[in-house]
Amino acid sequence: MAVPAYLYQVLAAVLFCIGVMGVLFRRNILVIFMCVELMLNAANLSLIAFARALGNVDGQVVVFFALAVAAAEVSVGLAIIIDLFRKKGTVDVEQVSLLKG
Amino acid sequence: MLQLFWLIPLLPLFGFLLNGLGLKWMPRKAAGWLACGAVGAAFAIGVGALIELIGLPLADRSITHVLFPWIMAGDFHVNVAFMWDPLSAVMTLIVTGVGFLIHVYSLGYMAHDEGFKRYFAYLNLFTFAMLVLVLADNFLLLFVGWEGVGLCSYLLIGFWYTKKSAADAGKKAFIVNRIGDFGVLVAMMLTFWTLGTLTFPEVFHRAQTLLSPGTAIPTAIALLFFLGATGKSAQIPLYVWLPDAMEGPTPVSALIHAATMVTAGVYLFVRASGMFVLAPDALAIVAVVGAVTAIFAATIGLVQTDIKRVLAYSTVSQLGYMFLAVGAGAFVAAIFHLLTHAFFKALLFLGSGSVIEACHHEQDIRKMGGLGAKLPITKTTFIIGSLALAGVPIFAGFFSKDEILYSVFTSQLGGLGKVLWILGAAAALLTAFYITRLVALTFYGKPRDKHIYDHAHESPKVMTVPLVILAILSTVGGFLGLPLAEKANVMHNWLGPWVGGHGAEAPSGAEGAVLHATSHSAGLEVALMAISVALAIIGIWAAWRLYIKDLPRVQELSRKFAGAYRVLWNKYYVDEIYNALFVRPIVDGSRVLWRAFDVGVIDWAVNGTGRVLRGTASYLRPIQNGLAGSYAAAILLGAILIMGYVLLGGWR
Amino acid sequence: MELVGFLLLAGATIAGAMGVVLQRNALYGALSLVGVFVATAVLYLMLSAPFLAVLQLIVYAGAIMVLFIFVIMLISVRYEESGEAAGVPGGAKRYTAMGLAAVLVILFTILSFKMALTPSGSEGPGSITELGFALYQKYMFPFEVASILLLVAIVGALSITRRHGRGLEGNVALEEHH
Repeated sequence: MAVPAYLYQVLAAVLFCIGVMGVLFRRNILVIFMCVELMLNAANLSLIAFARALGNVDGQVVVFFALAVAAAEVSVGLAIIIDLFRKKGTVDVEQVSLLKG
Repeated sequence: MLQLFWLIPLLPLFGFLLNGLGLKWMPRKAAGWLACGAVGAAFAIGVGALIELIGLPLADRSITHVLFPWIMAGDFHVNVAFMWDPLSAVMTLIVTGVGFLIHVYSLGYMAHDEGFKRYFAYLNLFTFAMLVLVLADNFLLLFVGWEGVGLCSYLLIGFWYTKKSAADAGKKAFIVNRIGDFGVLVAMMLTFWTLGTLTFPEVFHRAQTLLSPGTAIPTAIALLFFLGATGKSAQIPLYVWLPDAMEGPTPVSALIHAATMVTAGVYLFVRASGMFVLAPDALAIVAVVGAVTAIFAATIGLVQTDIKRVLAYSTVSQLGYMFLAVGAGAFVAAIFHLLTHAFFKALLFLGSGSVIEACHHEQDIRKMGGLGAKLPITKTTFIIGSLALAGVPIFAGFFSKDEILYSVFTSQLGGLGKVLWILGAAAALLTAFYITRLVALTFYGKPRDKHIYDHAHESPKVMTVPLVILAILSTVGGFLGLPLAEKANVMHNWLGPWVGGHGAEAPSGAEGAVLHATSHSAGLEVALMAISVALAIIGIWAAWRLYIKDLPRVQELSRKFAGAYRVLWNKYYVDEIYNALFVRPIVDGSRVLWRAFDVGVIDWAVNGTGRVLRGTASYLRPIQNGLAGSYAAAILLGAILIMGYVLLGGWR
Repeated sequence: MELVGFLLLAGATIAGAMGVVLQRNALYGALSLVGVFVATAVLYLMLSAPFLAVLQLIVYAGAIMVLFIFVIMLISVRYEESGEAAGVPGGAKRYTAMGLAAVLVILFTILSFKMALTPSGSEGPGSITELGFALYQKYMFPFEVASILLLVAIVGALSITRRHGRGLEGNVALEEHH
């Protein structure tokens, strides 16, 4: 039988929440970043499911762009992380509280 | 010239601005000449305008020049406008004429003073304000001038502001005046409320039609204005600032506290006489206060030892005469006395200034004596002034004082008038006495302080020439108001139609004093004249005998009547009484209020706000721990809350 | 049948996600993320988005994760969160793992082919033709902007990591610290 449409959304939601948990509870900044990618991925999934459900291709176009943006974002984000690592010698977010106060 | 009369106040204003703004770079001499020139030019214009005014037919003798519309708020219209009519012309010439002489005198008197330029700036400012006062065509502008002269009085009394007594005297003058100003303000409000206007011609016109004589409103207005007059013109109960005002430079005392500012109250009453005749009860009170003040101040002046204080109390006393005249309905007589008083009182003050200069700023007459030989011009002019003050015929004071006394005696005040006449006559006796005492102790007898006597010298020409001019005026000035000769009485013919209810309308040729009950009786007038002359001579003779021939007896008398002497010398302890009754309670009350309210409540609230904020901030600060993770958690929490709210139907 | 496939793939995705979040070692987490991306690509196939499925594999799994692994190797290898560095097991464990991996891959492939319903990748809904039309007509502007965005990202990444005053040589030795 065909998969009910809402299940895809449920899956996307679950993935998203797992990603959120990772962002909140991990200390390694690289892992945090990966969880962010996970969240993005979940959103993409949701969009494509909707595109299929609504019968048009706009959702896929959005995912296309989201993919491009994610690529750009990852490269810049990793550059920042590298720079942070050079300056602080650590990738533990709890030790980088420069904005404190 | 008539069309340019509105320049008259502006010339001294210009002088003030130049001197005031240019204090740094204006050369000393130039400042003095500029100030004198401004007033002198104003005087010249005034003379020209007066001559042209004389040439106009009787009914046209009032010219208004509007400078600009000032307040236009609904029904309330007030312009900045000046009015040139016989009354304002007379006042203007007094202010500018005597003012000019005093300006010139000051060139000499203040020559060695540090604040020379500041002094002349203030003097010009004062002249401007006073001219605004007398030329205003409405109550509000008059009040502007009124306040302006009050301000200048403060500035000039406290001219030597580093001296505590001078600074205090300045404050006292201003504060006491303020009490009177309250009366003027309320009176103006009442006037506007009932009559709908503040411009003089309209006010008097409407007053005649809208207000009934003797009712509450005109009486209230009159009494409130009188409250202001007691402040500005130093009557009981607000005269207390005038003796202290002698802390200022002597020419200031001459100008402000003898010739011009203190006469503002009298001028106000004469100007508004058209309205005040509707309040005979108020006028009666004015007369009583005036008479009582006259004799009260005269008693104090009997024993004062500071040359200027004697003259100060004399001024209070003479102002009392003017108000007595006003109260009796003799408005022209009041102005006449104002005029003559300006001459001889200014003369006396300037003369005393000359003496003080000669004695190196000594003002205690107990240390003087025999100065006549060293200061001949001063002595002669001073004596002329004294004779005028005492009311000796042919000198100016005689005519004006006499007319007042006659008017009071025959006024509609009836029996009260006779009583007041007695007070006035008694005051005249005392006046003659104290002024002769002053002359005797200063210029005659044996010098009591060798040092002062040796160094005494006559003043320079720039000071003695004004003295001489004033002396001449004090001699012939009285002929402007000859009694018993209706056609020749210049003052009455000039001013009569313009005061006392005839102002600004087509005047009849009748006398201004509409309140005369009895007819003009020549015999009575002569008889009363004779009595006052006799009193004057008695006073002079008694003082002469006592203070020139028999000085030790003075000591004896002062010991015998030590109690009375002490009371008089301490001016009836009025200042102390006021202090206990009014000043101390207010000051103490203020201190309590300050502590309890200002510090306790307001400061507590303001500081408390700061404290609360600081506390809250220190409580909230740990939220910013700089860890991105906790920020992300907060964002998530917020997102969940919002989504929950939306999903549960909260968003419409 | 489709449902079964979906559930399997969903399970795989979730397992991979949990792996990312729960793994102590960042490198293993990255590998889990690759698994997630692969499973998601298969899901895209099931959702009639073949082009995007392939794109996902190329961009996400192929480029982004490679970047991640580079950086993790450079940095995190030194600062592992847990005390033990997991050594590479040798011998039987290794071969078992490899065999299991191969089986998994074959299974996945068969399943994908069986479950995928898209008839052809170049026609019909969700096909590349349709996507192309949408991209180059309706979404032309965002397309161009996206290319600029990528350029900016390149420049940004370079400028952030550049060592000042050392020119190109500065970019080479990342091991040095200030």
